[in-house]
Amino acid sequence: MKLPLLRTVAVLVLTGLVVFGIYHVQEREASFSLSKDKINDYLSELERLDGELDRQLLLLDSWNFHNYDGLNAAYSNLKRALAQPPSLPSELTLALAPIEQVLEQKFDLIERLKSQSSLLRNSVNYLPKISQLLYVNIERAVRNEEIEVAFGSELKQYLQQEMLHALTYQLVDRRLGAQRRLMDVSMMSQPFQRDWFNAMKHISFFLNYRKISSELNADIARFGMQQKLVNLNMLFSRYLEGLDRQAERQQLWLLFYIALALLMLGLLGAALRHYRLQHEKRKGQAFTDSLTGLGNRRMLQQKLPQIQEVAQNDGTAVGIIFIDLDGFKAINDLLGHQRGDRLLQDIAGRLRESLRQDDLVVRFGGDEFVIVVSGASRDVLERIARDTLKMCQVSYQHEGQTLNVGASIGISLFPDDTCEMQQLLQMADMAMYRAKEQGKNNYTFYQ
Amino acid sequence: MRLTYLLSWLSIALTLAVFSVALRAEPSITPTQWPPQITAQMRLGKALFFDTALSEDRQSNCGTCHKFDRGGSVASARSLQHNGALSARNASSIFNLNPDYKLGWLASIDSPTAQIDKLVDGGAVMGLSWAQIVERLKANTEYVSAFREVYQSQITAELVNRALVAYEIALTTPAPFDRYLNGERDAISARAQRGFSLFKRFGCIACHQGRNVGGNLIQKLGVVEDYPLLGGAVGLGRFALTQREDDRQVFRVPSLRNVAQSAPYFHDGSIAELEQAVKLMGRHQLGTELSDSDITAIVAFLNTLSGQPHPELMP
Repeated sequence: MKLPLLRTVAVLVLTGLVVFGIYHVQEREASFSLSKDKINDYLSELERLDGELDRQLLLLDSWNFHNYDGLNAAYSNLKRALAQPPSLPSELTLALAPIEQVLEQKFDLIERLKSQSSLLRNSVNYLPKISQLLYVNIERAVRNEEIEVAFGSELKQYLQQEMLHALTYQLVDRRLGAQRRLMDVSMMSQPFQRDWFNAMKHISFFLNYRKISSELNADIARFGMQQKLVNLNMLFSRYLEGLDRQAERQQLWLLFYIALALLMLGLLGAALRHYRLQHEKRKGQAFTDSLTGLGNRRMLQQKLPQIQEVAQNDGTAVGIIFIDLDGFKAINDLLGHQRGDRLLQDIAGRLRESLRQDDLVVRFGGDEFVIVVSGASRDVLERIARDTLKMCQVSYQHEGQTLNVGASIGISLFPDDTCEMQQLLQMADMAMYRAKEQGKNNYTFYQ
Repeated sequence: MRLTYLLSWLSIALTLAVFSVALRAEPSITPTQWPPQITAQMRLGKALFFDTALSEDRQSNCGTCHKFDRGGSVASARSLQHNGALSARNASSIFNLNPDYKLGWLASIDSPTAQIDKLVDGGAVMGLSWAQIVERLKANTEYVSAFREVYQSQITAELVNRALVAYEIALTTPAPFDRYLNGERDAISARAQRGFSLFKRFGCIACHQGRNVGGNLIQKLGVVEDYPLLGGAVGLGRFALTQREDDRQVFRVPSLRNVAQSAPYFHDGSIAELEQAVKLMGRHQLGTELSDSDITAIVAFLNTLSGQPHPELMP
């Protein structure tokens, strides 16, 4: 049949949809958790690189005169990592831009710190040499009596004080010893003057280094990469929370869809049941006479072959009793159709009540009824015919005259008369006509 | 009084001595080496580097200005460009590029990639736009198949740039001095060794350090004694970029690898002789007049920094 097939297909399609829905959600979940890991890795990599940059800056600040390749690599690694993020949600991509900007601004500060550091290193390297040179030159000038002994020792003391201060100032904020003053060395030779001023310059590099580097370090700290990275992390976890909520919502929707699908399945089942009931009912109507509630001619046609088959198998006889009412037309004409209909209903009711369960009674047409009696003998049929004649005898009073209703009955018998059912029916019909010819209100067998 | 005086001198001397020893112990210059293997990408970059199709009149290629026998630089103070004008500053070497630091005399170029883009987009050097270069290369079936092989892609400006950069980054020039650093004590002459110790003692190494003996920081020209400002804005250095007083006459410290081959010297190419350059550096950066014998020793050391790229990468 078509209906079960349709139902199976519908169930399959709906199940498929639900399964696809679940799969789809889980798939998304899986791919998302993969990219989540990637983003987490990326963020911790950024923090690691930033930490490395800080470490290198700290090394620079603590007089670690290594070369700058390590610092440069730390800087450019962080920059490269920022420039090539994995696929990120747009909120995070937007948050990366200011970090890149800060790093770019940091470049200048780091460069100045590096320059200062190399100057300091230069001075550390150079001071011993130049101080020795100056010391020797002062001694020589004193020996050659170019300057006085007192002035010579003043120069030496001054030089010593300044150098001591330059060194201690790296550790102690206060100036130790005498205040700085300017020395007049104009009476010395030109080369001596130049060396002297260079030495003073190196000493001032020393003195400036601490101030400048702490300023630069403070500036670098003010850019607060750390805080920005923490913010980035926070942004990401907030984004994840949002996604969790979204996933929850998605699961709710999935539940809703499943419920909807079940509801639709139920509805479909109900609709199918309703349809089938309707169909059965219509089919029943097609075989029933609407006026009397008996079977109709179509039912007879349908049932006859079955009855024949049963009879043939069991080796029993089947009798057909064809009933035609006499005087019915007059009732219809004189007393009205309603009265006629009621009469038909009455007779039908009596016929139904008088018969066994297996017997079939149908309204064959207008005022014609047919009774099919299975397992009948001639005697039984005769008895039934007589009872029926009695049942059909009704009389009405109308305007002083009596209207009598009776019946003419023809009977045929299977398999005695014929084995062909249609023919059997015709034979009963013919027998009925003979009964009519013989004066109505009686019955005849087919002969 | 006499005792404290002596003691303070002693403490100064001791501190400085400790510093000096500590400084000399630092491996401030690290050795370089050739790339461990020559990739197809580098070979493709090499073909592009020496292809005259990249210039408008098909007369010059990248190697025209970055001469391999001149330390990857050009012999003249300023290079003649496609449009007939001279470059603003002395062409820098193409060898031993530092991928971790900014490039150019002003340390204003982010990366070799950015540098190539700048050259092409400026149009002054080779006279072709990226679109024209790509069009020319596409006409050459060898390039089409080479790009498909290396990048599984069509020829694009970005890939041409990437191949060139891969080649340029691979152009490291290990020199006798690297062998010396790696423990081969007689890889350089006794004079060069003395030059290296002077290089450290005078403090040159404060700025010329790292893998490329410089090229990884910026520094003022004329730290101790002012350097004469010649040639207007070109000599102002990073001041031209930032307008900050601190950046006046500040340049990127050039790498000293192949310095003996890449005359003339300084940002404006105004110094022809290496001896002269060393002398000026001593005067302006260190505040000392180097003796002729010291200069000779330092130059001998600088000569040991000359090397060549990997033979497969040579023109």
